[in-house]
Amino acid sequence: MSDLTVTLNYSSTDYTPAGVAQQTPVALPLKVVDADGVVLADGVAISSEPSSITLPDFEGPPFVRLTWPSGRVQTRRAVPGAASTWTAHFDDSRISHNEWSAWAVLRLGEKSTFAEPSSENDLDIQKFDKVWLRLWKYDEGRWMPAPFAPTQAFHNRAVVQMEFQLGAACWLLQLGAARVPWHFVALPGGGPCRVLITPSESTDPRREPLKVVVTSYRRDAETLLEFLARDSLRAATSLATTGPLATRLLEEKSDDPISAIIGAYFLLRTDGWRSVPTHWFDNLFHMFPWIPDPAIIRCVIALRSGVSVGTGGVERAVADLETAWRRGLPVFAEGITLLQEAASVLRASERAPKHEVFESIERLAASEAWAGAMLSFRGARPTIPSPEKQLGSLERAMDASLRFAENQELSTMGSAVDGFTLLGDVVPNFWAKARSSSPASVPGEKTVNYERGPATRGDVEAYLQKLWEDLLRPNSEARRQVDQAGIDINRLPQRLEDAIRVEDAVGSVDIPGTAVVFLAAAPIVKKVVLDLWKFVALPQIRRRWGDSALRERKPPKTRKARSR
Amino acid sequence: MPIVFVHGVNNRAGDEYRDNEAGRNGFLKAIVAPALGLKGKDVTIVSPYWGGDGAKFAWDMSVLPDPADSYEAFGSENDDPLATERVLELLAKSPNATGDPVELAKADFEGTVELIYASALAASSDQDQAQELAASYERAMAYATAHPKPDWLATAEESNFADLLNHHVHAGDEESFAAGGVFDQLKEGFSRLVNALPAAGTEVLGALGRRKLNATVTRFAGDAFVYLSRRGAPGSEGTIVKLVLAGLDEAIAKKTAQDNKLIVIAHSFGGEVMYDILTTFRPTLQVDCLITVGSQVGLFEEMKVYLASKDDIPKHYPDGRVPKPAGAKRWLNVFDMNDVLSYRASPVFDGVDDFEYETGYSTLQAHGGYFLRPSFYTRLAKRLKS
Amino acid sequence: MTKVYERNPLAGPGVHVLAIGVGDYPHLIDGAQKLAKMPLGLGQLSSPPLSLKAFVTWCLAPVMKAGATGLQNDQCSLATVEVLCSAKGAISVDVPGGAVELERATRANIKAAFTRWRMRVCSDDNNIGVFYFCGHGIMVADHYLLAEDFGDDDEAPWDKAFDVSNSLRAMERETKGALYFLVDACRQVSKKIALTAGAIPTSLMVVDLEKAVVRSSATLIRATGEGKLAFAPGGKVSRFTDVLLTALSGYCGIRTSGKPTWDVDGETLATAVRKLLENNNKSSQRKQVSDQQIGGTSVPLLRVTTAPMVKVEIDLLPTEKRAVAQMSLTSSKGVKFVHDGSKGVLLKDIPGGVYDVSAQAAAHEFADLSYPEEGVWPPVYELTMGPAV
Repeated sequence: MSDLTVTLNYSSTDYTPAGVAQQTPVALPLKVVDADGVVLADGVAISSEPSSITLPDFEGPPFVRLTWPSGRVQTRRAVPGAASTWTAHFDDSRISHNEWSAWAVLRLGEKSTFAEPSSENDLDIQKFDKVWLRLWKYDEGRWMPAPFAPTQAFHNRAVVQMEFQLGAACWLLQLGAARVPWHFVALPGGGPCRVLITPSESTDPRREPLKVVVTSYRRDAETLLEFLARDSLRAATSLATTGPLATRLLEEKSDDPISAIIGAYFLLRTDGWRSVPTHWFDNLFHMFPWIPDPAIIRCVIALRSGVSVGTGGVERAVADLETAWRRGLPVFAEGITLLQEAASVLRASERAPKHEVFESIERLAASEAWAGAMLSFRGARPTIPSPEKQLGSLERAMDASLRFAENQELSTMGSAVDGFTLLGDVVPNFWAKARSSSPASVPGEKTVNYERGPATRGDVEAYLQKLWEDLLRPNSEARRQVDQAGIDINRLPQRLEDAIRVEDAVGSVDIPGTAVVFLAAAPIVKKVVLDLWKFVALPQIRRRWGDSALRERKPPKTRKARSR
Repeated sequence: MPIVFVHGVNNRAGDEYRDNEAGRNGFLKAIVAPALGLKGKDVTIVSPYWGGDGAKFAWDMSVLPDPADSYEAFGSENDDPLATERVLELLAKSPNATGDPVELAKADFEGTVELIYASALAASSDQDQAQELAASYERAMAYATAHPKPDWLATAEESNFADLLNHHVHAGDEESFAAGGVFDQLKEGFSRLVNALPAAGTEVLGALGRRKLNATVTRFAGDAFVYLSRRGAPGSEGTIVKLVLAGLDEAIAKKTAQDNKLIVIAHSFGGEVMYDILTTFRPTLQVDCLITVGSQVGLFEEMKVYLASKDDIPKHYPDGRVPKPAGAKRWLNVFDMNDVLSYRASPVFDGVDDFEYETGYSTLQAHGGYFLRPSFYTRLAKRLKS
Repeated sequence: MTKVYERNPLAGPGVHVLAIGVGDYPHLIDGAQKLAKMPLGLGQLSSPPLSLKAFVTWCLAPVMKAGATGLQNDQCSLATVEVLCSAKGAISVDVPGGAVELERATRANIKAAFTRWRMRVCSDDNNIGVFYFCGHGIMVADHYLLAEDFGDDDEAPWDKAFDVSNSLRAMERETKGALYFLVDACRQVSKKIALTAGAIPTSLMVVDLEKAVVRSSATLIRATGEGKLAFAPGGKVSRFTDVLLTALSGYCGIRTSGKPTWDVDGETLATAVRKLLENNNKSSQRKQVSDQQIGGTSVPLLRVTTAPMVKVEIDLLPTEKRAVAQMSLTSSKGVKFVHDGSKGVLLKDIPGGVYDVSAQAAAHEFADLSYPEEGVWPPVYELTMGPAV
């Protein structure tokens, strides 16, 4: 037997805005395996404290496989210590250096380029600036548009992130555009909530054009649910049965309904519900009447326990289902699956009274979309989910809302077009510089880092200066090359200092770096400058100083997604 | 490889513009782009919108003798009203299309297939789905040409016609364990046709078509006046010119060293705007292929209202023509004898290729139906390749 | 004949298989009988009988020949196999007693076979029930599968389909064993049915609300995601069944220290199927995904003694540098696999484990590339090395 200690340093994911209480630690499941992949132990790595795992006798060094909710796996060889001990350490060198968005990287796709911070992706959230957003709140039995008022918002080239403070109610974020199907994503109410939106990198045909990631700062519980949503039960079980999360999930009295609901969903999935006293689920149902999930859970437990037909058991189950429906919509996708299970078995049973809620649930289930563990579905309004893909700009969405209001004679319920906003309008009202270890990024600038090689910073600057001078001469070789590359010279800034700046940058251990900064300009102009660099200047620099001049800086374990 | 689409008259913001755009873009990518040597999936289409700066009518064209031009009375109440309107306009131009679509198919299978796809296109709001529909359309027409009277037609019914058509058109595909792809679109398109056909050929629909034409001509005149009076001059361009130039610049920015073709398709009055841009506002602009559709470019040069127009051409009518704009490497002008607002260009310009898009249908053209007809795209593609 | 195999002796825990393949639909397009009023755009299928045959053959392989790759589980061996098939021509399966011709998969036959299968699965608390279906499917909120005679009655078109989602829910209340439902059918959402109150097919067994869910484990793996299609190359085994059988034939499995076998349970199998399908999508224009629903505890379907293999794909960019590269994988136990880059991308099946991956150029055309301690885990490992400079 030996002992393994695993430490997890993901401090870059710890960013919380002012006013948010300490969030729960990051917890990720791990497997300890031998060189052949035989599992020596299961466990959990937690960011707040080292994890200690006892290993059976085995041959060779152990390897630790850490899994992210996205499915990405990191493997580390454990390092031997004194007297039958081993250690393994995971850190956040693989996570995006924009610390305010690093938390989401664990939940983006398995092949997300955000997990390789030095690799360039061509994601551009600005292309989606016409995406409209709308916030909905379930209030007194009705879904109403709510003012779209994030307390903070951040963005970089690829991501928009917003912070909300949400009251104790059901909430939905709706998105849509001419090329973004209208759909909803649930937001957990009763406290702070953070939403990150980024263009999807997935090749899954079911993907939405935009990926929406949501947190309510219960990182460990949310991670458990993300694994559950992907049917990774072993990972979910590791998380649920180890460490502080295990205790928190099943506390008798909890003022945290979201964690309790997550715990209940886990129990339902793994059949652990049988060993939990029924009153625990009843308490959840009664203590938090503003969330439907406890009602759904209670209904499904009753059905899975076998209901007593003659003594009203079926009617009670139907009543719970109807209560769940009246309370709003579940926060988590697991809720739709269970709603559909309950509605389907009740509907098919001759012993259950017919109820319109069965069809409503069926329609919701048929309209389900994918947003990880959060509930997501398609439709124009929360009350009208639809499996049909609806598309349309802000004008169309507003028009649809107006027509609905007219049909329903909703003139007394406020403006039918309240609460709409454009993604492109979210950020200009708020701006915060990200705490980042990469060269400071100013809005609009793009920086590319290179290993310097034989061409010094001065060499590059001198070359660029000469290039600019040559471009001013109509019959120069530089002009010919630019024309041949199809670059519109009329779009280039007159002065080099308005186009490109060269700086020293941090390189790898023994090779200094050079950063080439493409300066803020209109997108069209910046594209022309980038083309000039990529197709004319950089090839010339390499021809002159050798192939190793200005190699794009990458860490040793570069992994690139294959594309065919 | 960008395509810029410059719209013409009758385009006003809202659903109609955008839905029209999605369907049109899907068919352009799937059918026209390959004829230009482009891969559909790689093509970007930029559609600058200038309709908001066109003519505005203070009394909403109340001066028209009979302004009522709504198709609301027709079609199914469950269907998308815009889609229904487009189908009805198509039928207004198709006097032979009446009655039962199955019987219609037995009489003219190819024509009916075209109508079904046009009806499906009419509801396209998703560019990707429209592209799929376009690809399916090409196969459907190949199937219809090879099988002008398929066996299954004898026993087809309204309830299963679209199912049978879809199945046989896609018979060679990889098997799927359900009817996916464009089936739903075809089914809806057929259903829309079933609902609309009873109105085809009726006097009521005919009268409605005439009123719509009145409105179109009125709006055209308005846009022409507004543009000519406010187009500005080089260096102080008017709003419409600026908007179109911005669209062209956006497309140019998407060019790469490997892919540097620029294609411009200009419909109706958009042709005149493009001509002014190529001759005056941006004479250095390089367009690899200019396609004017249902346009009046030649007419406006006859009237000498372009900034670049010269009174001394022609010196001696009918000899002497204006050279095509230097920036347009190739220029194809599409017109339709039945479109009262479309004109030839070759009598006036050197170097332009006139192409008559023959519909063979009635004279009640509402001027704008080119892009609603799937056959327009295939014929345009064929012409571009030749 | 529907039961094609029965273990002798039958008593004791065992795997009971019910496999159904429907390719011949007489009332759908191009069928031999009257066309249904609402054929839902569906026609005949060539793949399901072939996919069914491949699946059943795999199940029976160790029975037909000792040591062959197939359904292997020494704690719960193959007990019975019942098969229904609807195909244009005759389809037979090789079984220990000789080839048998299979009965048609009409709704009535499917229901009767399901009842018999249920009774067998319920006969022992440690049994495993495997339900496999390949044919047309449609989705509203639950998943409906079409029997051969779907469409024979225009007045009651859904009478010849069945709700497989509720069939599973019903079985969960009948057996204490484990259940594997493997459904190779589309889940295209029929808008017409979803948005109108269409008739709902019944399940193969009524869900008895008075009974508690007692099954130990339930795994449902579906050939496609919601709203999406399942595909099959014409005249061949379907994509899903192909990767399912690949996964089951030695490309997934977990072994825990102290245990002698590599076990394949629902989660392991579903993950492998998903990754193999994703890998296949790279060479397909029409992409297919799989989906799963897993609950309960882990009950392995397979327990095998050989370690699972990994399909390895390693590329090096730029391509011209790959042509001069020597690519290699070296396990932590020193086993080395070498590949000459001039032959293209490295494609090889190797045992799973931790490997150092590297590339060198004999004449130093590029600096050495090294990827130490790469986790090469089943079923697929992909890496693009570079850029080589």
